[in-house]
Amino acid sequence: MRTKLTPIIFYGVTFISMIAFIRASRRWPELIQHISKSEELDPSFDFKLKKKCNITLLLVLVLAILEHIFSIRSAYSAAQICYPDTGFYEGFVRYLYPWVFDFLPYSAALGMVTQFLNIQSHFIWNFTDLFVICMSYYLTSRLDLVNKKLLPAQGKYLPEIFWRTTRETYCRATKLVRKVDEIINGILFISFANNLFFVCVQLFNTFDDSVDMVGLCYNYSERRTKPVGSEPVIYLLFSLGFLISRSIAVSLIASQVNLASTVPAPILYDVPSAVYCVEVQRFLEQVNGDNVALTGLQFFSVTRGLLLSVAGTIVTYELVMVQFNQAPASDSFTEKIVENNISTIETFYNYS
Amino acid sequence: METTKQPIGLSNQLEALNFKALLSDNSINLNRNRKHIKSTTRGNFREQILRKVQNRISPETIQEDSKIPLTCQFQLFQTAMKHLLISGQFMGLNPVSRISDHNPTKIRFTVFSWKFVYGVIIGIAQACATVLCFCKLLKDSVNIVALAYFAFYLSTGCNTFIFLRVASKWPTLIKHVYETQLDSYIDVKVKNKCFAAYIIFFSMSMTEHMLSLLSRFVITMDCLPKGSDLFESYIIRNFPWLFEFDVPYYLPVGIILQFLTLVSTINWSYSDLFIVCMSIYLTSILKQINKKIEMAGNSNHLPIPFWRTLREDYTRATRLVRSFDDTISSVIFLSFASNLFFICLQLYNILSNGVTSKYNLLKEMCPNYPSGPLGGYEQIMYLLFSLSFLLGRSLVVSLVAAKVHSASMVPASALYNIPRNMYCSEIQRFLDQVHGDKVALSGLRFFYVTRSLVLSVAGTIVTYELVLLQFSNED
Repeated sequence: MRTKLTPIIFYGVTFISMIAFIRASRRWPELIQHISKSEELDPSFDFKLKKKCNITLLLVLVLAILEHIFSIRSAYSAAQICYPDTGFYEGFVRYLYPWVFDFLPYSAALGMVTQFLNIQSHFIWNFTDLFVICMSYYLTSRLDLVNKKLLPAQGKYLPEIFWRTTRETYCRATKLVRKVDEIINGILFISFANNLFFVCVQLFNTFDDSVDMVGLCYNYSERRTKPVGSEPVIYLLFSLGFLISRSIAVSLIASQVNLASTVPAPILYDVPSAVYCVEVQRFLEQVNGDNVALTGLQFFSVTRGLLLSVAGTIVTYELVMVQFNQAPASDSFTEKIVENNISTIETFYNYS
Repeated sequence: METTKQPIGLSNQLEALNFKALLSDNSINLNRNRKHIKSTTRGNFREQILRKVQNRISPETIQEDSKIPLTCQFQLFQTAMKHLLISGQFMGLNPVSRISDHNPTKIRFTVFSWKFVYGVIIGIAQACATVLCFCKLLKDSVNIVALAYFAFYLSTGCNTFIFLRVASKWPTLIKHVYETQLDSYIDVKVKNKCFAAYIIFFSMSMTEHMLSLLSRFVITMDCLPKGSDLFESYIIRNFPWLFEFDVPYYLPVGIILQFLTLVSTINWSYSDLFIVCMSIYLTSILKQINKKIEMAGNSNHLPIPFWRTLREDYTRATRLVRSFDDTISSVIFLSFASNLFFICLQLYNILSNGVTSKYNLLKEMCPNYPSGPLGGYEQIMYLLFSLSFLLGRSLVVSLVAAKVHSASMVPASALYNIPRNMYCSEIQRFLDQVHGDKVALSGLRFFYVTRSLVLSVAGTIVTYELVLLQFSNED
């Protein structure tokens, strides 16, 4: 059942992501106009931003292509066992997409179309995270513009006009964050929900199935086949590692926006009393009172604490799910206990 | 008049420091009921201030004197942390050269010192042990003992590498401690408290190690086949992650493995001790400021510059806390994470398997049972001592580190009680700062160590235990 549920959720979520991107693209021109006005008022000389975005893009896409290659290798070796008597491409496509070929007759064109759709969906999955990461880089760099101006001013005697202009720059930067958030919060929500679901499912598959059951054929005629070699294991572990590191990267980079907005506070506390004015007070009240962060459809704010609570949620769900799966009479668990005890007794008596 | 004999620059400095040093020096007899404080800056006050200023300006004179009066924060820090830091360096942790020197310019972090190389070697050894334990975990099914070994070497290996990073930031931190102008808030009891904490943690950690050695040797002795070497069979039994991969046994290998275990066990509780000492130091500064605010609140009238100075001192103290946090937050994160994991694991082990584990049952079938000094109860004693030490350690670290946050919130209640005729814009600014700023040690900014964190961690542990125990009920 689990193997049938995962593709439904996967394609459903990519469909919803497409809708979210269409919604975002409708408001994209007004966002660009706002950004251009804001950049005109506060020109930025951050040349590293472009390099950072390009490197992240390259890294994520290369790893995604690698994962796709591993999946094809593992499907190929499994198809040879599950469908030994059909042609090479037919067996391969039948193994990968049973939800199409159990109902429709096989043709090479249909196989290629399905494979293309699958590649598209995987790309959308990775692209959502990449989009959130690059927007967070940009917003962090805008907030850092203010911080870079403030850091040399710590403890110094500067006139009121300096504090006023810095405060107005900070206001514009937070307004930009809020505007971007309005437009991309649906995408961010989908990205987090998707990552949470798939990390839970993949971790559960890894714990529960134990790697020698990978390669089970869907038509159940080859139940508990002989081991298919190391390709499915590599694919499973690589896919899980890639998913977890991508989720952590999105959380950490998106929470940088919140961190960068809290940097002015200590500097403002250090303003000497001789130059303390109403502008500094206003600035301080804004920094302390305003919650500047990207949100997920306004349900949650992406901060560092969120990553911790998501991790706790995943661990709790894993423990509960693994326990549910072992509640009916499962021989493998008790077999393992007996084996374990026997091996312990053996090691007591044999030291060689 | 003395001022005519001194050079111009020094007298200007004296003028600037006069008022501040006068108000904050406890040894100068200040009559707080006097309205015109500025007029009492003559005569013997200048002598005392001059001596204090000279002590602070010339560090070269300080290092020659071994019985140094503690007149600045930097010296207090160095004397209080001396034992802690040097014993850490014996385990390859925090390899900063000349770490206890009283001259801050001599403290440096270099990659090519033997301390750094020693730390890296220990870290690599622990990393190798982690990888081998992970391979063993994959080979056998997931059982508690293999998981415990893996997590133990993983957390101590990460600890060693994190302390290397701390060492690279240490000179900057020391510089900040030296330059922070909080010399009027010295509490000499910090030295005694840190030393007491050091003695307690180390003695309990050594006791735990001795008990673990004892229980393992006894098990080996119980089931020793006739005519084989005790040490060899002990090493092979207790490091299965190495010897199951057909590595031949040599005596030096055994000694190295035993040394690695000793270092890792002390490493495990060292980071908790480190956090406790740093928290004690930071809390002492904040508490002294709080005392001064309280005393000031009880007096009749104090001028605005007094409150300004107090607020600036509070700001400097919070800046010091933030600077410490930047350096040691990764240590706090790893300490909390590994404590949480090991408490869950040990509690599950005891609650599901009971204190008399299957080892005890099998031991009774061994030829030499019982051969230990405690008559068969060594394993139980070690288990119980280890669990209670772990629980006690986690609780102490959480509570002591949470004191930093609690101490930073105390000024608010004193400031609320300021009478109407003393209230000024400085006090308003001070109140806004106490309300708005979150001054606490954090774990890589993921969580802030406050008292409520202790409660939520306890709740998490109980939840996980209840869920995990369902596993064992189905057997």
